[in-house]
Amino acid sequence: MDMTLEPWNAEYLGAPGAPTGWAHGVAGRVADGCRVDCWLAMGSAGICQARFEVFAGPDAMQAASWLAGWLVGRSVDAAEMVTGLWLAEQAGMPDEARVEGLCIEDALRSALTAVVAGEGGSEI
Amino acid sequence: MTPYLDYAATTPVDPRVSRFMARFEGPDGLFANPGSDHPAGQGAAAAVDDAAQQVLGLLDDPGFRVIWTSGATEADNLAIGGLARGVARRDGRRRRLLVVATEHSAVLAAARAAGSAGMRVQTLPVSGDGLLGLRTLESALDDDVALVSIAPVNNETGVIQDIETLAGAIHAVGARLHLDAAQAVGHLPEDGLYRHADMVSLSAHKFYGPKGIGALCYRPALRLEPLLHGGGQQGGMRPGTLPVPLIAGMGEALRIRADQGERTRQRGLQQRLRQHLEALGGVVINGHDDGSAHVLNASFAGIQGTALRAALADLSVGFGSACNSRGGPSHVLRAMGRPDALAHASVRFSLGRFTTESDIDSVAERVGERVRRLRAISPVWRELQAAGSIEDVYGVTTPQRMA
Repeated sequence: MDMTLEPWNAEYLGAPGAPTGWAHGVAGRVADGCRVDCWLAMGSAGICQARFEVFAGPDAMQAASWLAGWLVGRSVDAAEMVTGLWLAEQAGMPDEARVEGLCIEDALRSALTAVVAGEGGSEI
Repeated sequence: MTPYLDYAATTPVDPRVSRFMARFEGPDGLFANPGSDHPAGQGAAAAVDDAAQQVLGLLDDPGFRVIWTSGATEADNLAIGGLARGVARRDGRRRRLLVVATEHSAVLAAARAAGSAGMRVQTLPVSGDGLLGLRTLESALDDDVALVSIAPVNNETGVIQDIETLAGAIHAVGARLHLDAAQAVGHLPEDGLYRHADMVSLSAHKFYGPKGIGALCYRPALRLEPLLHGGGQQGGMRPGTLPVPLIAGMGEALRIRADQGERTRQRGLQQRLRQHLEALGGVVINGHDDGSAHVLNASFAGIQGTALRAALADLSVGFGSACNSRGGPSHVLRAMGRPDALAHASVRFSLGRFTTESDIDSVAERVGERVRRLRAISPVWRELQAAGSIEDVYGVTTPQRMA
């Protein structure tokens, strides 16, 4: 992750240009000030692309960007091991932002559920 | 240096005011205690009197008495707390205070504190454009109301209340009217505005005077109790040696306060900024179209508040009120029916005497660039773009007028 970038300019943020074939997961609520969407594209060796859309604070943006990079090349089983706490520690999220780490975890799990259910996430 | 668009938080001291205040510094200046009977003291007292005349000139009513304070916060506290103590001391029957939901925190907190003096506080709601309706006020008024406190110009939105109309209803039941005019000086034509009031709070640093000085102007018939106790200065209402240079600076700042020409110039700048922001789309303007020319408050749909503040951190603009730095969604915008998530993603741009078109264009360009980027990564903005209504996406029923 390039820490010199402003969080909103970090890599892997924003919806895919053409979302067809991507698995999509959603977590959080606008009213709570945190909504995260996870997009996963699968290849023969597992996750080949990951992106996050983030309606949350800058720490969540950086953590989501870091996680998207980490997910590439991982299996679904490995991705399912991700927790918000682990992510917060890996991405150096401050304590007050850790609830947003849980929201990112939930978005990832939601997307992985879609992959397992065959709702998008097919090889592209 | 980035353009400064936070004049509602505070203004720079006008260089003319600085030069005027310099007369009071140093061993040859008018530094003496105005409470002293000797010539030096009387020279300082004359300077204080001159400043008081400027205040009375603003109010256009010689029937006010001027109490110098540290600013509008203290003046608000003296107006509300002093009146509440006065009511308690004489066991008066008027025990209710009415405050508008969008008032400055100095008024709201002072009203809450007045509860310890036996006052009951009632908060009056406003409409979606921030206006206090006459019917709303009338339904709350009765002969047990001691005081109604209203800001003629709101500090966060620039909304202008119809004081003349509201004052009639207040006085009809024998209640008193306090105006927190911190944002009004120079931004409203006076036109007899203050003659409707029984008390007026002022703060010099909001109109290019020095920080640390303000005034509570009140009708002598009001029986206020002091909040501070000391040497008996200012008739015992606010003891302490008067800060003559600050008072003189406030007087000079009032003398050169903005006129209609400057208000018209600022209106042009405000409209220019508004056009820039509305061109972005997804912007909710918080306030009334006829609000003060020096404030433009906008909420940016699809963006989370903390992210917006971080992205605009290098711009000198306001987020909520600088006088209330707790960081949550603005109580003013919430009172106007904005959902928390939208209220949190709001910016107060406030213009002033030294703002130029170039400042407006520069700030608007930077805001536009960052708003577009934050929206590009936001699922909420994507949903809004996909024809979702702002009310649906934000989970509210109150209509939000989005440009």
